[in-house]
This record gives sequence, C-alpha cells and structure tokens, in this order.
Amino acid sequence: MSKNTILEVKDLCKTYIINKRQNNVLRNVSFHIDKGEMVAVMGPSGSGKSTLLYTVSGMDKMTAGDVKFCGKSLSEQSENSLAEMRLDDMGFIFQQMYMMKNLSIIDNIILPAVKSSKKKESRKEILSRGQDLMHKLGISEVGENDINEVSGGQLQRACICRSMINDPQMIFADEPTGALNRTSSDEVMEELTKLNSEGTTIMLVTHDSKVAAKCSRVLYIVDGNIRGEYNIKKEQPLHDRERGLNNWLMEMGW
Amino acid sequence: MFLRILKKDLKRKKTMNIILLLFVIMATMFAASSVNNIIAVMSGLDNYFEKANMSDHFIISLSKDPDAIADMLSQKPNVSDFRTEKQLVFHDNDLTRNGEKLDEFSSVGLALSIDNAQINYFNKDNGIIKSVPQGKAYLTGCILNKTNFESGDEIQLKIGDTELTLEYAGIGKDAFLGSDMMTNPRIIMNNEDYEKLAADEKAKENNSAAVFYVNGPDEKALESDLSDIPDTVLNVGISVIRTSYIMNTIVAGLLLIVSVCLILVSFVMLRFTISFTINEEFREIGVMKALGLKNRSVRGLFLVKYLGIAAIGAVIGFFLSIPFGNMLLSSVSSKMYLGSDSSAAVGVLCSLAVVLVIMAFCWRCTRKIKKLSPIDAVRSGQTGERFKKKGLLRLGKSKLGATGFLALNDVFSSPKQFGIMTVIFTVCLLLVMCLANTGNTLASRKLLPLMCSTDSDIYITDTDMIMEVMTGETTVTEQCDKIEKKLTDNGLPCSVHAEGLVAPTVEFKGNKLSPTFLYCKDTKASDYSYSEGYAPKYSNEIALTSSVAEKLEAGIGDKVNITIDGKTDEYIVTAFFQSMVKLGETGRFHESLEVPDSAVNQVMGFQIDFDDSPDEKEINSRISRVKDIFDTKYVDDTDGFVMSCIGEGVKDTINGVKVFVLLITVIIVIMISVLMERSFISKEKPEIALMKAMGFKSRSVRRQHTLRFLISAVIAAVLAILLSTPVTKLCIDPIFGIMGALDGVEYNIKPVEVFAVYPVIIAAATVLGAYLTAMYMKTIKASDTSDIE
Repeated sequence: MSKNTILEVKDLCKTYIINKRQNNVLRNVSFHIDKGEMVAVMGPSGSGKSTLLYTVSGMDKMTAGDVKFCGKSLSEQSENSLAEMRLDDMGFIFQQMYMMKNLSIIDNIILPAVKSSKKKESRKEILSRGQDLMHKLGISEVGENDINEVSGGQLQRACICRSMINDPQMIFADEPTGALNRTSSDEVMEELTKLNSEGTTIMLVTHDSKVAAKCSRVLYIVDGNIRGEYNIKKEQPLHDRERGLNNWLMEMGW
Repeated sequence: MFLRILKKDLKRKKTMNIILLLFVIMATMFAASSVNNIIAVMSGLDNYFEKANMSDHFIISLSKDPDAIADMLSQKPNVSDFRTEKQLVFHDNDLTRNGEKLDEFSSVGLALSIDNAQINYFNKDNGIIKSVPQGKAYLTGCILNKTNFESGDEIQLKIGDTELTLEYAGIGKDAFLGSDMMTNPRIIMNNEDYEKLAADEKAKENNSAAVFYVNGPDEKALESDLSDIPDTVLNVGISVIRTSYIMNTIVAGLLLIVSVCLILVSFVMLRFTISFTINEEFREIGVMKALGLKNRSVRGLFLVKYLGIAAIGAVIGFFLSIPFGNMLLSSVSSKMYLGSDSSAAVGVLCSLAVVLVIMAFCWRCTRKIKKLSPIDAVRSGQTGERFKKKGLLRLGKSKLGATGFLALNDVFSSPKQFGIMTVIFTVCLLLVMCLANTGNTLASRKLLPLMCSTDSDIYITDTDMIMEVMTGETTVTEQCDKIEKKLTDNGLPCSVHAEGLVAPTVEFKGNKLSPTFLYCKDTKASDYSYSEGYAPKYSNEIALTSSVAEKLEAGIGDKVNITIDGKTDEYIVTAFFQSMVKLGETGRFHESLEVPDSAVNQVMGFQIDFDDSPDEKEINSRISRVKDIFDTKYVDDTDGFVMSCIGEGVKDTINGVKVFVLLITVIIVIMISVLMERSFISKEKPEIALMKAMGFKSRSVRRQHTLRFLISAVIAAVLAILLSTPVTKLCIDPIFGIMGALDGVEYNIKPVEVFAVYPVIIAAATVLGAYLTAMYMKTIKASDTSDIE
C-alpha cells in the first residue's frame, strides 16, 4: 500500500445466503483509491456496485478478502471502531437523501459533529461550521426548515454538508444524483467536484455517464467482478470526456 | 387478488401484525377479566350471602338449654322461621398445635358438625363443603389471620376431657363469622368427631352453644324483638354482618379500581396501536389507489385484516382472561366467596366488545382513505405541499449530547405516541400509589379517631389482661392502677387509662337497641371528634354514631332512655360521631357519669402516657421493655394499636394486593415497553440504519431509544406524584365513607415509598423492557439504508 493510497481492496468477496442459496455478489474484487481521487463505480443493475460501496466503507461485513482504509484493516476493527471511523473519517451520501425526520436541516447537518469527539468544539462553533458549509453549498436559507420543506436538490446538498461536517478523509456516495432531475443533479455534482478539487477523496456509485465523466477514474463492475478501469483525462473538455467514457462503456457491454 | 394481497401483507408485516395481535390479546384479557371482577365485586356480598343461605338475624347463645331459646323464638311475633345450628364452644387455650397455643382470640371459638350446618360453608375454590372426612377439619375466621396452616397440619382440640387430633383440611369460608372483624373462629368437622366431643360430660355442662339463624319480614322489628334473648355472645342483624365485611369490601373495591385501570390501559393501547399500524400502511394505500383499486376495496382489505387479527386475539384473550381474572379475585377473596355464575357469558360479551371496538377504531382510522389521493397517501397521510413542523428543539442551541438531545426531541416531536405511553405509565403508577396510600392509612394513627381513642404513647391489648376485666376478676380502674404501679416500679412513671365498653339497652320511640357505649373517666368527651353537634358536657348527655341514631330514629336534642345495670335514665343526644368500634354500633358517655365498674365488661386496650413525654425512638425501646415487664407481645404504638383494632388480616391482605398489583403493573409496563419499542424499531428502521451509517455506535442508538422511554416514565412519575393525593381522595374516600368516615380521612402518605420507590420501580421496569427490546436493533445494519423503501 503506497503512502498515497487511502483505500486498498484485496480479493474482496461478499456472499449472501438467500433461501439457503448462496449468492456471490462480490468475487475477488481488488482495487485501490489514492488520496484526492474521485472514483466512480458503474455497472448494470444487480452487478454489486452498492454492495461494494457498503462493504469497503465498513457498513457491511465482507465474507472474505481485505479492505484497508487509511492503513487500517476493516476486518480487524470492532463494530465500535468501525462506527468511530464512519463518524470521524468517512462521509456518506445516499440516493434517497435520508435524514432524521424530527430534526431541522441544520440540526441534521451538525448531528455527526455533535456526536463526534474528534474536534473539541463548542456547540456554537459546530453550528457556525454547519452554517458555513450550508452557505458554501448555497442552501443557507433553509437551515431552520424541516426536511419536508425543501426541494430534493436542496436536501441532497444538505446531505453533502452532513457528510462533510467532520472533515472526512473520504466520502462514499451511493447514486447521489439518482433521485434528482438534471439541473439538481448538475448542481450536486458541481459541489462534489468542488470538494474533490479541495482535496476530499470521493468514491461514488452511479448509472449516469455524465456524472461519472466528472470523476478521475471509473471502475466497471459486472457480476461482482471489476471488468475494467477507465482513467479520465481531466484536462479534456467535459463533452470529450463523456464521449470517451461512453465509448469505453459500450466496449464493456454497457 | 384481494386474498393474495391480504396474505402477502400478513406475511410481510409479520412483526407489526404480531404486536397488534398481542395487544388485542392483552386488551381482551384485561377487559373480560376486569368486567367479570367488577360484577363479582359489585354483587359480591349479596351473592355470597345468597349462596351461603344466610338469614336476617343471628344469635350465638351459650345457653345450656337451646331448646328454651328456640321456644322463645317461636313466640316472637316478628320471627317467621329460624334454624338451629348446635355448636361446642372452646377458648383459645383449647386449640393447640404440637402443644402450643395457636392464637389468641378475644371471644369464643365454635366447633360444629358439617351434617348439622345450617348455612353453606365454602372451600377455598368456592365449592360448598358438603362433607368433611373423619379426622379432618376446616378452619374459618380470624384464626387464619395470624397462623399459617398447610394442608395436612395436625391440630389438637380439647373440649372438656376429650382431646381430638384433627388434620387441617383447608380454609372454610364462613359467611356469618368469617369476616376480618369477627372474632369467633369456627372448626367444621365430621359428625362422628363432633359427637365424640359432644358426648363429653364436662362439655355438655360447660361448652354447649347454638347459633340461631332467624328470619323475619322486618329486620328492624326483628332486632328490637330479639334484643332480650338471654345468654348471647352475639345478637345481630344481617346489616351488622354486612358491615363486618367492610375491610374485605375495601380490598375488593381496590380490585375494582385495578380493573377499571386495566380496561383504560388496554383501550388506550389498542387505540394507539391501530392508528399507528394504519398510518404505517399509507404507502401501500397510495400504491393500491394509484393502481386503480376502489376506496371500498382498499378499506375492505384493511378491515378484513384487522377483523381477522381482532378475532384471533379476542379468542385467545378470552381463554387467558379466565385464569387471570381468577388470580386477581383470589388475591382478595380468601375469606369471601367472590365470583359470578355468568362469567363465561360476560367474558364472551367482552371479547366481542373488544372486537367491535377495534373495528370501530379501524373504521375511524381508515375513513381518511376516502379523502386521500394516491400521492397524499404515499406521503403518509399528510396533505398539501407543506407538512407540519416536527422538530421542536434545536440541537444547535441545546446543551445536551447528541443521544440525549435526539431522545428528548423525539418525545416532544411525537407527543401523541409518547403521550399515550406517558398516560399509561401514569395510570399504572397512580394505581399503585392509591393502593399504597390506602394500605398505609389503614395501618396508621390517622385512623385513630375512628377507633374512638385518644393518642397515647403505647397501648397494651393483651387478651389475658382484658379478659380479667371481662370476667369480672378485676375492674378497669384496678387493672389500670395495677399496670401504672408496675411500670412506675420498673422506672417508667406514667398514667394509664382505658376506653371501657358498656353494653346498655337504649330505647327511643319504641325502638330498642343494645349498642356499645365508650366510657373513660380519665379523658374528656371533648377530647374526641364529632361530625355533628357538640361534645357531651354533662353526665346526662351522650353522643351516638349516625348508624345507631338512625336505627333508633333519634336526632340531636332527642331524649333517649338508657338502662345500665337495671337502672333506666333519660339522656340527651348532643352529637353524632364516626366510629369503627363494634362495627359502628357505638355511643359515648360523658366522663362525669358514674358507671358502675360491673357494667364495664370490656376495654379497647390499656393506654399508657409516660410522664416524661418520650420521643418516638424512646417509645419504641420502651415498647420492648413493657413487653418484657408484662410478658406479652401485645404492646404497640399508635399505628400498631390501630392495626390491631382493624385486624392484622386486613393489613396483610392489603399489602398482598399492593404487592400483587405492583407485580401486575410492572409486568404490564414491561410488556407495553417491549411492544412499543418493537413497533418503534419497525417504524424507525431507516433512521436507525442512518444513524449507524453516520457513525453512531449501536449502544448509542439503544441508549437513545431507551432514554425516550425513561423520559416518558419520568414525566409519568411527576404527573403521578402531583395527582396521587387528589386521585387517592377521589377513589378511596367513598370506600372510607362506607366505613363511617363520611367526611373523608387524612391519608398517611409515606413520601419515600410512594414518591420515590414506586416511580423508580416503574421507571426501572420501563427502561428494562425498552432496553432489552432495543437489543433487537443489532440486526439493523448501517448498510440497510440501501434497502429502505
């Protein structure tokens, strides 16, 4: 594992037993992500993209193999230390924009910071940091609103704020734009790209090649195996990147 | 199609459906058993007396010639018929177990043959005792209070020169003498055993007795007619026997309160669960409506589902209600026959009622379906673009940690669901608190005024010392002087007095009565409390209880004729007072009246006031010393004296009911916490998964869920503490009113027990139930966020 690698996955297997039948969702998956990278995972439905994301982030247990996050092997961590890692070093964004129903937007955003003991901050400081993040993502006016009172795009940006509140080493995003229209989707991706350019490592699962084209690398997964890897040249204009990616995806059988 | 959707739904929402089923079972069980118990308690005494074949009037005669009494009764114009039950009298010294006296009882015990029984006696299972095997015996009444018997225990009864060893066959329920206030225990035996005792020559001479069960058209006229029957130990009408069950009725009355609370709790629970589960269905409702199903079909689907669950739950609940109801009844009816013949029918009706109520709830809850568009339904029943505000507290402004804040915020953001839980906990706590207050009051000095005694440092109620006065061996004054001297000689200077009991005949407007009058030379009539009028000031003035006044038809200011030792004088009634002495058949003389010592044939107890006014701690140490000096265990402080007047059995029964109700309450609270927490977990699965995904440890989420229950329990405790005194007054005052305390009583509230111990127990039960159930959250993983619908 090089000094620059933040996530290293080796021979990862994940098997579900459904009705006494073994279902191998991930089969000997190996890859690594370096600090500052923005990696997209693509593949057909049921190929194991989300399972991969949840397993490498420690949210789900692996059946075999090894995952090292910041040099620490996840399989050697207890449930509690995994929880601590998720709280302090990882950020999560979900397709369905899950939030705590009884909390306002700002409270949802600052909740992980209040829970975390990583930084010894006063409640005032946490609140101010949450407001700064909201301002940065352009949703400062909806802080006191309930989660039902904002649009999907605003809610997903609030989810990004929440994932960023503890300054994580890496953000895992499961189809962050899946439930959004094109405009909102573009806005959210713009924010994620901005975060990445500021140094945050991001791994995201997507079906959308327009979204994936904004990443630095794309992993293509089929039947639990990484079928191929595509490096995107960031210096190219976006439409060229999209075209190149689409061609590659067609080659992969997309 | 309809059935397939239903089948899938039942399978998919297994947890919530099982929870609902459990609540229906609980509700049916509580409702059916409680309604049965209410009927049993309300009709309790009437039913008991009817089953026992009781008469209108009762006489226990010690006459050697019962036939002569029977002849007298035949001559009385108001007697329509009577039955004679021959008995043999025995004293407390005559009844032993392994050579040791079983108990002390101030009056005589009676032995009878089951073949000659003139009323029905019941065993502990409420079956009529029709025969007693030879060598065995059933025991009834006060003797069962202090002595623990187990089936197979052997007791020895010696009457005259004949001693019989009898095996204890069990409790006998005696409608006439079995109440806690009656002091005549009975032994029911086989006829051959009885004849062995009756054949004894000495027994024929000294132990013959008879109980006459007399009937007449007018109870009052009968009482007046029979007041001159000689050699009686007891000569009372059925109303007095009824009053003697007051303590048992109080305990049964408490069961009534328990039952009402259980019904309340069960319906609150049902209402909550049904609206909760139906609200959970809105997404499905939306989808079905979007697919084109008609309102009627959607509603029908849910109604059929809930009808099925309600019917299954009601059937199971009905069968469980039978043992549960019997368990509740048996806790209060060890000496009474409590039960109703129609319990099965009532149970079925209650179960049907529960099903109907559930369907009514469902009908009401599903009414919304009609008004909802598919989209509204998908939005969990909310209408419009803006939803009402949920969160009330602000994390940014709070000083609480994340877990504590989330718990508190949840409670205040969902006032309905946590409010219902709080109400249930409050009702449960109030129930236990009311019982505790009643039990503590019954065993406290607060009831001293109802015992017609003044407050003293200690009281001696030794039966031997009292018997010396009763048998005329010594007078009250002499006995008091003797005690005073002995105590002074032992370094405890004091003054001793006693409430003497006199039994004169009182006559007014042709109504004749033999109430018991209290008389004490060493206290003033004005030292006692009166409910109406003024304390007697002169020797020709008296006070009466309202019950005696009512029977005499006398009011304040009336002049009544009283005959003491054959001398009749006129006395003015100046006041009414409340009394529990001699079942309220009481009067009071003025202290200046010269009552001959020979007329004072009993005392309440010897009251000792030390010259140096010792504190409570010192009094307790002196109680031990006085016990040693007089070699008796019957020395008490005021609380103990009140308890000995009321009967130890009552205290034990109330304590038993208290513990039993506390246990039931704890079980109910745990069950409610378990079922509610399980339904919360089911409903909040997305949030739990999200919290775990964000990095909350499992124990944090568990703590948050448990804390919500603790907050509810704490709010319930505060509410219950605030409401306990008024609610106790509201519920228990009428019960004390029946005892004669018409103006209510001052309750003895033990703050530590009532305001600390019980709330802590209920809170602990709540937390335990919720925490153990919250362990189930372990099965929800952070990655479940991806599976949430």
